[in-house]
Amino acid sequence: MSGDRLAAVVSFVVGLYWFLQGLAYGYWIDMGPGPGFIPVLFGSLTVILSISLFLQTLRHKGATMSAGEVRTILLVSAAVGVTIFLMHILGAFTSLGLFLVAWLCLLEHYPLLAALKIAVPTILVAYLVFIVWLQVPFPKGFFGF
Amino acid sequence: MEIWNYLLLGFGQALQPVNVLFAFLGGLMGVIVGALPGLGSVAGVALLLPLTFKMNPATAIIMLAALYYGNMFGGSISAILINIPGDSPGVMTALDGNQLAKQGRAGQALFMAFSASFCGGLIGIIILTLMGPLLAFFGLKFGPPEFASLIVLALTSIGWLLGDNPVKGVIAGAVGLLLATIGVDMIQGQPRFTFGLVNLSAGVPFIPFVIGLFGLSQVLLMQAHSEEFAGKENPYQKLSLSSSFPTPADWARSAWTIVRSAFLGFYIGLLPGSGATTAAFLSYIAEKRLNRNPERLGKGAIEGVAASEAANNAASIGAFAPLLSLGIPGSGTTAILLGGLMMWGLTPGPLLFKEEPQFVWGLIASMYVGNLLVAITCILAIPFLVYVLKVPRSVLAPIIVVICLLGAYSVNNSVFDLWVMIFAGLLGYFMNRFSFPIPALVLSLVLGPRLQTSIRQSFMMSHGSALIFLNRPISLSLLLIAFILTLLPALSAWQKKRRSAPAAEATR
Repeated sequence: MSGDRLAAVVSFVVGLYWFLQGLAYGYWIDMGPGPGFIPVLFGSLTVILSISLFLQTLRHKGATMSAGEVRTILLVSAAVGVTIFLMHILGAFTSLGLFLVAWLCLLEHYPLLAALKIAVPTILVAYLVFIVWLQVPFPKGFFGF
Repeated sequence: MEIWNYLLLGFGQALQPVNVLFAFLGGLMGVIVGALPGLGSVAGVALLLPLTFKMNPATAIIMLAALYYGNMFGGSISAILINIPGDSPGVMTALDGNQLAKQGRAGQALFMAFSASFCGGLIGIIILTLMGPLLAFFGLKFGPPEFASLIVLALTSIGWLLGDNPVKGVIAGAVGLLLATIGVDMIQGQPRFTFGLVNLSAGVPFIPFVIGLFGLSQVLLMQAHSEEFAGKENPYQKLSLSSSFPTPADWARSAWTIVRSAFLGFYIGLLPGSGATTAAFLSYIAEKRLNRNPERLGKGAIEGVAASEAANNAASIGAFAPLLSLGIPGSGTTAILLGGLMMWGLTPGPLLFKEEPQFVWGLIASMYVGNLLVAITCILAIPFLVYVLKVPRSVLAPIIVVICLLGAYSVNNSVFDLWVMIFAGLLGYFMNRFSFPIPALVLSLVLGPRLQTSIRQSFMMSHGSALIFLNRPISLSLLLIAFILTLLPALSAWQKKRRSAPAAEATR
């Protein structure tokens, strides 16, 4: 499916959902717009526009994403997702350090030592700025940082 | 004459070595906090406020104010160099600034951003000096109907941010407005579209969303299209201050933009609840409307950087007028400063100018000094800042991800925001890839909540009558301008068609 057609279908569903939920919240109550006023208004607009975009895609199919492209996007997003998940177990800065090393070694094929030379100073500076100076309470893991 | 005497009194206070030092330190911290994605001026001022408990109130407010406007300088650094706006006012700077960096003009973009910030700030301070108390009262004339009409006017401008396919542009804008409805309804208190998630009660976390939309999506693009980015890693090789100086043509294009944006930004800064982000957006839109070649904006036009930066600095100064003269904060940061003023035993309001002239005028005078110090520091730092561009893509990409994660978390100290950031990154990638204009979505997301509240408050005021928008002169004028500006593109297309018809006849 082309990107434009996918966008048309998704925005149709989203617009319709917002429209129906907006009606449930109340479009007009007590002589004035209710909580559903804007969702109904712009949900219906989104539905109309998505139909228009879908009709456009019948004439010009538009660009598509290759399997390799989708794989790369999902791989990077999954790597970031795993890092977030590990933050509670290993602590934010250990997870971020591991993420940097893994990225440099596995994706960019850096030798481990070179990856460490980049990751360690980066994490150290981030730690000094965000923890020592700004005192942002990042999740801590086994190691206490 | 009285103003000059007060200003001289203020300079006496501001030029005391300790106050100059703290203005510089506050400004420097503001630049750093502004450049770090996610940590805006609100967080910066909030973090520093407890440290000022035992300071002299004048010195404390001078430092915190410098942090606020220094933040506006800093927000442009990461926006230009790595396409991650340090703060929400930097979103519009990223549009052209990062394109300039990609064209090997990062130094010029930074120089223009800092110069525009300085000039915008300076114009703002001059207006504040001359007319601050008076303008604050004019800002109060803006009730919900006027706000609603102003936002409608701004939203009609989405037409100028649409890109090649207007349907895609309007869809992006409409989706932005739909996302803006997520969260507890401000009037009825009813949760909407939160899907049972408490974290969405306050709405979509804006900064993490923007970090994902601009920053993470950039990394995804770099990785998925690595062959296109290969060889474009170091577009800037000469890292000297002189080579960062914008060309005379750049100055000529930006000079009037800076002045106009500064006035617009200052006025928007005065309006309660708007602030530097709205100012930057509206100034950029004004630039898009008034520029002779509007199609250049978004593709690396230096005047786009100037518009956004002059406006957000002027707005940060403008926000001080209602704060000092009426005790009404115009933005989140000034709301924290209001708390600080009260903590130091001062009561902002009309009497503050009379009862504490040394304090108020010391602060205003310190803005002249601090603004200059921050501008000089930032400009001198350009050769070092541009080193970021020397980092190879293979190293920069994962570091950007780390910065995105740190920045997105720091806003609300919430892991949930990190998932929002990933979602926004994927959305941003998709929008970039299939030419859906991201600025249209961001504009609606910024203005949406205020639009909803203003419309509904207006109807409550009028007991359900839409005439309230037409009965008030400011609101009516704004709606008329919106109507005319909506018709303009259609009119000019019709005129073009009429002109080309006889020409076609003649050639036949």
